[in-house]
Amino acid sequence: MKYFSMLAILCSIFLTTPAWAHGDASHVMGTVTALGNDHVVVTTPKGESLTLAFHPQITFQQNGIHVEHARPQIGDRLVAEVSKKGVPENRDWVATEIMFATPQKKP
Amino acid sequence: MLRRIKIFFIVFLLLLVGAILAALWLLPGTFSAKSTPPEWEVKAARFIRHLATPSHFLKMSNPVRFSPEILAEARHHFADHCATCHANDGSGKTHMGPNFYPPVPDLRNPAIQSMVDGELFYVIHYGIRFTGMPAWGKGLPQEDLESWKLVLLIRHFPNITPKEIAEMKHYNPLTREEREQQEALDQFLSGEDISPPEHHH
Repeated sequence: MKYFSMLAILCSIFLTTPAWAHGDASHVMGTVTALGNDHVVVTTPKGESLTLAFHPQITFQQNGIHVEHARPQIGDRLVAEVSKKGVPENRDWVATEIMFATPQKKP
Repeated sequence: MLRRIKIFFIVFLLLLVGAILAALWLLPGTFSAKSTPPEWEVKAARFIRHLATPSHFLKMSNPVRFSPEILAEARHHFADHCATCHANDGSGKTHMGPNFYPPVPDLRNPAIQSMVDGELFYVIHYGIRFTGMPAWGKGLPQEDLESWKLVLLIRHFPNITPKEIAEMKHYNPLTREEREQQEALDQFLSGEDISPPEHHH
C-alpha cells in the first residue's frame, strides 16, 4: 500500500500536463524561446513548444510585480494564465496574464 | 392668469413624461459594473471625493514615523486584508480588481500618489460609497494607527521590491492548496525544475 501510494504520487508529479485548469482558464509554464509583439513561444518542461498569443488586456508580472512595459526575454521562465477562447491561427493559447522571471539557476 | 397656470401645468406635465421616458430609456444597464468609466467621470468622481473630504483631514500629516518594522507590519496587514482586490504590489491587477466599477486603481499611479496623506487615510478609514472600497476604520480616526501605517505603505509602493512581494505572499489569505500551487509556480520561475501541481479554482 505504501509503495502504491508512492507510485501514485510519483505518477502525479511526472505525468502532469503543463497546462492545468483554472476555472474556465488554464496555466501554461515554460521557458521563453522566442517572442514577438503579440505572442511568445515557450518550451514546456515536457519539451512541448507552445505559442501564446497576447490578449488585448494582458497583464505582465516581473518577479511578482505588475509592470507596464517590461516583457519576458528569451531564456526567462514564464507562467501564463491562458484560454482557448478566440485563439488566432497558428497560436496554441491566448494568454491573459503572464508572470515571468529570469531564473537564478539555469535549467 | 388661469391660462398661464394651464400652460405651466402642461409644460410641467410634458417635462415629467419626458423625464420618465428618458429614465426608462437610459436606466437599463446603468447599474452594470461591466464597463469602464469614461475619463471625465473618473476625474469628476475624484474631484467630488476630494471636496467631500473634511478639510481638517486634508491638513493632517501621518502621525506614524517610518521605520522598516512599521513598513513590514503594514505589508503584512495589506497582504492579508487588501491584496485580494489591490494586489500585493498595489497595482489593482487581481482577478476582481478590474471588474469593479470603477476598477480598483493602481496605487502607484500619480493620481493616487498626488493625494495628501490625510486624504489617503480618510479613504482607508471611511471607505468610498458606490465603489468596492469599504470603511476599514474602527472607532475614532485618531485611534486608527493601522490605517496610517497603510498610508506609509502606499507611499512605498512605487519602490516596492520583489523580495518584499515574496514575503507578502505568505500573508495572503489562501487555502493550503492555493499556497502550495503558488509556491510551485515561484519555484519554477526561480529556475527550479518542477512539474505543475493540480489546481482547482
